[in-house]
Amino acid sequence: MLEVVAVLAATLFGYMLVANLVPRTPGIFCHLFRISLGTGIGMGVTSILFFVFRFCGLQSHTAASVNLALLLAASAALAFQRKPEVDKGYLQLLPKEDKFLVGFAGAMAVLGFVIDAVVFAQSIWVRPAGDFDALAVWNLRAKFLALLPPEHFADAFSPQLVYAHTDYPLLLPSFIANLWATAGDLWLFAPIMVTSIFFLALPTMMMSALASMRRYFQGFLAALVILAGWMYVEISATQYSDMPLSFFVAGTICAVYLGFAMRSARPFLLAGICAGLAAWTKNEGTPWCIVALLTVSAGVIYMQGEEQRARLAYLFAGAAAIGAVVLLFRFTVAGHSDLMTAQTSLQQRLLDKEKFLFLVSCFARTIPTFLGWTIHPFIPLLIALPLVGVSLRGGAGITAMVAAAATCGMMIVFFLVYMLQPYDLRWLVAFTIDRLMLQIWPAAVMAVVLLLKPPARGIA
Amino acid sequence: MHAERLAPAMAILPPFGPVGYMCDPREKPDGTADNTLYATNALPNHDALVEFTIWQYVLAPRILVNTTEIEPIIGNFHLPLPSLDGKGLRIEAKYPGGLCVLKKDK
Repeated sequence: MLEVVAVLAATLFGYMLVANLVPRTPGIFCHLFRISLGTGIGMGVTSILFFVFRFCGLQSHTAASVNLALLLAASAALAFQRKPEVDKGYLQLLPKEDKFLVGFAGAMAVLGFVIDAVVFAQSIWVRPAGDFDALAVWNLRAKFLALLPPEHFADAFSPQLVYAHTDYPLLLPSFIANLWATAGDLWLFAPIMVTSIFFLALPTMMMSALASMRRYFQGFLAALVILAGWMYVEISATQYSDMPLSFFVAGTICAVYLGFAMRSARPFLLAGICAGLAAWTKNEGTPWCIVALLTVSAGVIYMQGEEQRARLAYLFAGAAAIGAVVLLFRFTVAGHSDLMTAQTSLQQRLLDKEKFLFLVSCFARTIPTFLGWTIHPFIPLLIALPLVGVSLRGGAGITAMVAAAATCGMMIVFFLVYMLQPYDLRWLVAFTIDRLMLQIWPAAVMAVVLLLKPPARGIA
Repeated sequence: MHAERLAPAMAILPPFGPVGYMCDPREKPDGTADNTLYATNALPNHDALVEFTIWQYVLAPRILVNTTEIEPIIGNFHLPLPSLDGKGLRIEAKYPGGLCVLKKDK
């Protein structure tokens, strides 16, 4: 069970980091946000450190031990720092929400968590090793990182590993390898624990980010919308990297929201770190990192204010710290991507009219149904918008704009990648489009939920 | 299941580095064996790909390569072992369930 110790160390570090960067608000949701975002960031940073230590020639158990000691030392150092506090006068200005509606939404969110947790546990029970790529790609690469001695480290990225996608970044494999190296065995409990944490942390983080700024109704609604798609559970149980990527997409937007809402620059460091960790999770995370940096920068510049420079500096510093390791991986050990290997030229593929029309129809069919919806939750939400009203105050409007722009940017990226890739498009779309949509789904949910005016006391 | 099946062979395989792989030959439409498979890097069908991938996971951190150019070669046969005549290979060790380790004839 030493794996649990390693996860707790990562969580402690992440919790302390978030506590030092996001001003404290009264209530339990502030702690829930620190735990949920902190766990993801802690796991990401652990994964980065484990890779760097192994790259520098350390044995895997030494790398894991040094990692554990470093995380505990850093957590202790962060614990003694003075924590920022939110402006209480500002909190008192926030509208008081209707208690009945908030209570009802909260009860539904709890029910959603319970139902999803039961279904998720069943899925894991039926297929503890996840789906095919969990074994063929993610856990296989974790096994290489955990077992290879330093002199054979390059074997983990050998071009002879034809089905292992050695160009994929390493957040999941490196963190799981760190857990296996800590425990000294290759128990499947480690990848199951990691996927379970991301599964629960994503809706918890979105809910608590909104609720800690007294937008309880929107927080519960965001969690419900995420939990309500049955494919959310299905895709989580595959043990692929889509769910962790989705988590860091959500983390970027939540940190941006808190930065704007609390009029603080520090949460933008977390936004940058989340964007960077997205690039460390999956290849699709790199365009997210770029799109997020561009859209958030545009939002910060649009909002102006005296903290503009500090916000931009924090944002880019966070992304650069993680991005440096992603670049180290890309330019030293990563295999070549098969995306651009094809008989036809890029121009020919980009101008293929038949492919273009097929993709337009695929996107049009998938967007309303991709998580297994019967009725897409955006339909009642968009109907509710003019009835309930739109609120742009307290950082909600600008964050919604940033999230919507980033979501649209990523849709364009996905479309272009489908146009350019060399494989059979029907096969590829069938196997990937749901997972791609899930990756950016939290950003779209935040964009719509943030626009809803909080139901004020006395309306219901 | 695969780990148990492969356990005896793993003892004589090198702990790291590439290991060759050989599986049942793809059959031609006339039912005769298509041995050209061994000269390519392609696996005969989806089931063979799945099995190759599981074996790669079990044998990691060795690198499983679908070729007989690299030795030792691990053989995975559900059908009777094909004739090795003219292939320059010999069986080093044979285990139950169609598993064997092959080497090149010197």
